[in-house]
Amino acid sequence: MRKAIVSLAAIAALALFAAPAAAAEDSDSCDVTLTIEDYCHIEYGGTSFDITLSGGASGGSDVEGFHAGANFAAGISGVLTPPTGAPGDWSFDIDGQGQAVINFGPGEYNAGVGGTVTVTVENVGLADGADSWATGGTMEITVQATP
Amino acid sequence: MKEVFTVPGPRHGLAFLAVLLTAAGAVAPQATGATDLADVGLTVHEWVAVAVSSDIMMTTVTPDWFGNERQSSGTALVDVYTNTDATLRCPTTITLMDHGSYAVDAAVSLLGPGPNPVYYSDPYWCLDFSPGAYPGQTTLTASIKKVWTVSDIAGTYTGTVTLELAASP
Repeated sequence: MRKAIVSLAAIAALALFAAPAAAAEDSDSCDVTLTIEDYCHIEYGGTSFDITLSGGASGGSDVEGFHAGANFAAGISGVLTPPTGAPGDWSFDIDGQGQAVINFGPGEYNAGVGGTVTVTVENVGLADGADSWATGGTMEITVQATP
Repeated sequence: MKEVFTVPGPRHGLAFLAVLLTAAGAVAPQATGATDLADVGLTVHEWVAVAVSSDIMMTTVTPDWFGNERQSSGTALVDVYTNTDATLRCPTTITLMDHGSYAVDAAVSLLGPGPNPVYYSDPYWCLDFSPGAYPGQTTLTASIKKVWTVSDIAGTYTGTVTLELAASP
């Protein structure tokens, strides 16, 4: 039995040495990473909201388009500051959603179309008189990451 | 067991001594010189080794890149050792997949002056080496060049590239 074991070991050793050498090859790997930072943009298509009341009208509005985009989940919101001393009740509306935050993205907001902002003034009375209020008024729109 | 030797005569005294020494276990006298030859062999198997020194971090895509065609790239040094003619190859493209999918170009090249033996062999870049040690003399570069848009979602994308070194056929 012992001889048999020794013989088998010898055969195995011979087989090992007689076997062809393994192909010479090696490999190694590494990770590759790319980081893309947050990016967003928003801009009006026009330059200003100009509201003119004529013929005894008590209110009016103006509409401007805008384009926005973000490479993350974002929201669009607005802040209206009426012209300094201007009479009436002022409000704004973004794409029929009122003054609520509009969530979108990642991507272009309404790709290829964009959105609209409407600024409205109401309840301007005769007693407010005729005048022009051209300073201090702003309609700010903002795109930022949703909480 | 005791052996008994018969002495044939005085002229055979030396022969008798030889027989006696043999019987005592001593070595029999030989000729004054003798040689023999044995083969001496050496087998060196083909051996290659490759190691990428670091991970590759491509340049971060910053906000001012958006809307413009810009290239992001990163490089790692590669160690090559071989005792035979060998070919290093790496894929020409790497796929990054985390929040989406990006195809990234990859290439290997030799540092330093002189002709660079890189040649294109889709879908691999191949680089030939003669026997020797080439620590840190090869670069592995990954790059992506495109117009960046908001469709390129913020985040970190990860992929893997594998270099293979094998004895040339």
